[in-house]
Amino acid sequence: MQPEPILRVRGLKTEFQSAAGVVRAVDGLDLDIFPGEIVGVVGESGSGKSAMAFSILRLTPGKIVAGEVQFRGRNLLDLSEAEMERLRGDRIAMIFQDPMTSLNPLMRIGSQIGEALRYHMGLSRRQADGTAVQLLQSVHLPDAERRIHDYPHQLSGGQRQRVVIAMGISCAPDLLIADEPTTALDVTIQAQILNLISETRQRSSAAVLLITHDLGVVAQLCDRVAVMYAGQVVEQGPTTDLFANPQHPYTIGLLRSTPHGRRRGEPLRPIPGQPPRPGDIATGCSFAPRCHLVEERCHHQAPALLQLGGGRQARCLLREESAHESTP
Amino acid sequence: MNPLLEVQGLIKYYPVGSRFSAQRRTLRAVDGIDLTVQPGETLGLVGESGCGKSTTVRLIMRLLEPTAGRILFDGQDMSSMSSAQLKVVRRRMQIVFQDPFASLNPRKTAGRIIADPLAIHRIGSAAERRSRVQDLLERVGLDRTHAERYPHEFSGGQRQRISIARALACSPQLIVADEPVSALDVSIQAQVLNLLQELQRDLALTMIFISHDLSVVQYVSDRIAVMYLGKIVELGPSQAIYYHPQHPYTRSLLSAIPLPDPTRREAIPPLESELPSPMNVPSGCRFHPRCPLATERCRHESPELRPVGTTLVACHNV
Amino acid sequence: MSEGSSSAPLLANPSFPSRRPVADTPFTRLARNRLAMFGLVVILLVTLLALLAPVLLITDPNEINTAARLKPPGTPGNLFGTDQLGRDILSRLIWGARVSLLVAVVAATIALTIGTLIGVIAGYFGGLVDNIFMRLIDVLLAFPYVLLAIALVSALGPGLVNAMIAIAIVNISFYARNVRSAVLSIKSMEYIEAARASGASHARIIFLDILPNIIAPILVLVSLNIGWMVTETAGLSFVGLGAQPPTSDWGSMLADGRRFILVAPHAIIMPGIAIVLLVFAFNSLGDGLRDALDPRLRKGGR
Repeated sequence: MQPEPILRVRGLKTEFQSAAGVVRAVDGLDLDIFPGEIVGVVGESGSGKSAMAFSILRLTPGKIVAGEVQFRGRNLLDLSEAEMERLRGDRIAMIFQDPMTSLNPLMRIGSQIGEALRYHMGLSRRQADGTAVQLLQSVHLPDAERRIHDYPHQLSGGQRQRVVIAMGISCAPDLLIADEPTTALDVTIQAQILNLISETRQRSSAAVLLITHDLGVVAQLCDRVAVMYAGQVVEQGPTTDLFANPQHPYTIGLLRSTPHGRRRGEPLRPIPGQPPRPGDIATGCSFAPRCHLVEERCHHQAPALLQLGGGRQARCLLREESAHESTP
Repeated sequence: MNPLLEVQGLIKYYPVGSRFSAQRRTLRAVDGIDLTVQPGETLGLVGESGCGKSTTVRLIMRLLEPTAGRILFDGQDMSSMSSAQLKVVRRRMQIVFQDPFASLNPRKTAGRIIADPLAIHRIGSAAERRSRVQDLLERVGLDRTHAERYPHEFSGGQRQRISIARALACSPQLIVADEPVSALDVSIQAQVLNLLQELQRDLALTMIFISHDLSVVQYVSDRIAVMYLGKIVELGPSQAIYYHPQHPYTRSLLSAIPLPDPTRREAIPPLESELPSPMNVPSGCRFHPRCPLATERCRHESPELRPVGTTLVACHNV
Repeated sequence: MSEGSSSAPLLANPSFPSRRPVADTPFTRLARNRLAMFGLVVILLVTLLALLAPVLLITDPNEINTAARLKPPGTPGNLFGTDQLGRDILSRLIWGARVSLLVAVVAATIALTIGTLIGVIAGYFGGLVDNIFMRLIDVLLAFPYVLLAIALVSALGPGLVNAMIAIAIVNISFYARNVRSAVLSIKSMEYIEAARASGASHARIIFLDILPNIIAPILVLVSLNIGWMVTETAGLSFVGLGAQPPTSDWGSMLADGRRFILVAPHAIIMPGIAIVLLVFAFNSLGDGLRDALDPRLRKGGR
């Protein structure tokens, strides 16, 4: 018996108006997230992974033109702006890539954390301060009692990201969306923050949607992975299966591209060509121009996301034989 | 064989704060580095932000003036060179930068950018330069016709190829690559890494390759120097460093890399605490506040590099 | 496609027809900006009138006609009316435009040249040179703007040329500071380091790598600055330190008309409108240029 997903995205399409015309950043995205799991969304720049996250929260500067975002049974796209505001930071929290720009430089960190607590949970200033200290302790910020009086610039990058995470979990959200939360950090600090995210999930049972370009981060942290390319999910499945037996040629290419554990002289096998620029229009499969398994039909026929069993999905015409009959 | 590059006791300090302030402090960006690079080898420099790896190569390129120390290029001391002599040496060493967006002048065409070093050193006629540019474009996997385009018409990976072509223009012996793939997507990263390796093999280039990512560095380098807060803490053959790291910092750095293999989820606890600021370098061994092996001695006595197996390690406890 | 050898052609992407932008250049963006276009048209119109003043069939701006003093606008033969000496206001405005534009453009050129030189040297070389130049500029800035101009003209003696020099000096700091900060942001770019690493000389870097990249912001500065200079010229003439009688100048027209504000308001309204319109035109054009040239809006950026 499958539990109900906490977030269920169907056919999401987001467009941006640019000088060159309409650019579709998210192009028919389907994604499920179940309570308590960490789902990784991997993709390269321009794959639409950030646009997707911002669309779920309805914070995108673009226009959501189609689809639905079911969160605990309600379609977020139907809510009023006021209802969305109550939800953001409370039931769904977001952690951004650059902790410096997501903190107000003119506000002490204690007040910043407290603001959400007072707004969403109606705490008094004193209660909020107390809770802020507890939260900062829970994200292992040393000296939390003193630190709440600091301004963001007095903290290091890793410490700032801890503060942002503390803010994110302050109202015990059901879903935490983390957009490249460790990309701006050094490796040893990244390891600390990844541990913290994993620990947070265990403690609070919040589901985490982790957006990253780093396959290593996904492999180490996520229960399930969705691989995005050109605004679509091209492959999806449990992390271990997907890494052991990737089905989509793009995923295969990505895994072959990493130099991890490869000895000197052993050539890498990169994906040829360039990722499509947002706004390029593909007639068939959007990966066809770079695909090593490409066939004639791939240039004309757009593949659907096929169910492969075992929770696996892939958007590739070549996998049709192995696809199951089941409907998405 | 004589080393192509020799660095002795290299130091770069920056005064921080106002000239007239009593709180003037010193930022120790590079704090005593010795290195040799043999012709044809690739030396990897790895470390986190603030470790001084970028400063080190800028000192080597003489883009910065060292506070102390000597840099010998092919046996000649660069610090005592006149600007005319320096210009001659600069033909023989070139740099590729990290940011494919900031490293190309947006107002010049790709062709002009690549031809620039030739123009500076007055190599060849205009026609010869043009044909050299076209050869270089093809050499780095771009098209001849790309010479007429401006940087914004290229993707990040293509721009990095233009940077590489520019670096190759004067047929240098030494290429310094400062995080050349860090800003690129994974699939593009692999293309550029392959290109660099191919070029190195075909043109017998000597290379210094900087990265924060130990797994990239081990893949391209013969030897690796691991830097921490302005000093080299471990130096040795790349496979030895990658598979049998000795220094506790190298070990933590390695275990902190998230491996793209979900079956190997390492339970090694990450290093606690933050990187100290190079303005406030800890006493003794500069790694001791974060080191799991630290003893009383580490607090007072700064360890020197000494041989352990095939590598040199600066640690009292290995 | 063969396996990913790095030298595989990277461009051919058959099913992704590279979509050429319809035309999104600074010029097209400027052309779409109505306010900036309005400014440009006004500036061109005023410039044209000023240039053609000697051949236009208008009355002599200095011809005194005591019989027709302070005629209201619309009087036959005096479309904008006359002033307290019976001189034709329209004609004086057109001739006055010559003065305003000439002073502003010449002063701006002087200030731009000296200011850019200082800004480039200070920004590029930094250190002690930068400190000395910038402290000097600070001293210049410490004086109230108009007061400094007045003091300079008082010292040099009233007159248009001296007013021009004063306005130029006062505005050097504006260019120097702005150019310096533009140079600083370009200087930190890696392509400057790359040029240095290739052995390029400072002069080569300044002329080929830095100046071409700051021309756009300088253009914006000039356009905004000329607008202010028109006001400053008028201001100096208003207090009697600029154009000397009988030269017609918008500032002195204001000063002359001021005494008759109740009986003949048009004598100050007409030059007032002229000043406001021209300054507004330059400012709108400047704003439009800034928007059009903003690299953050440029296609193909990050």
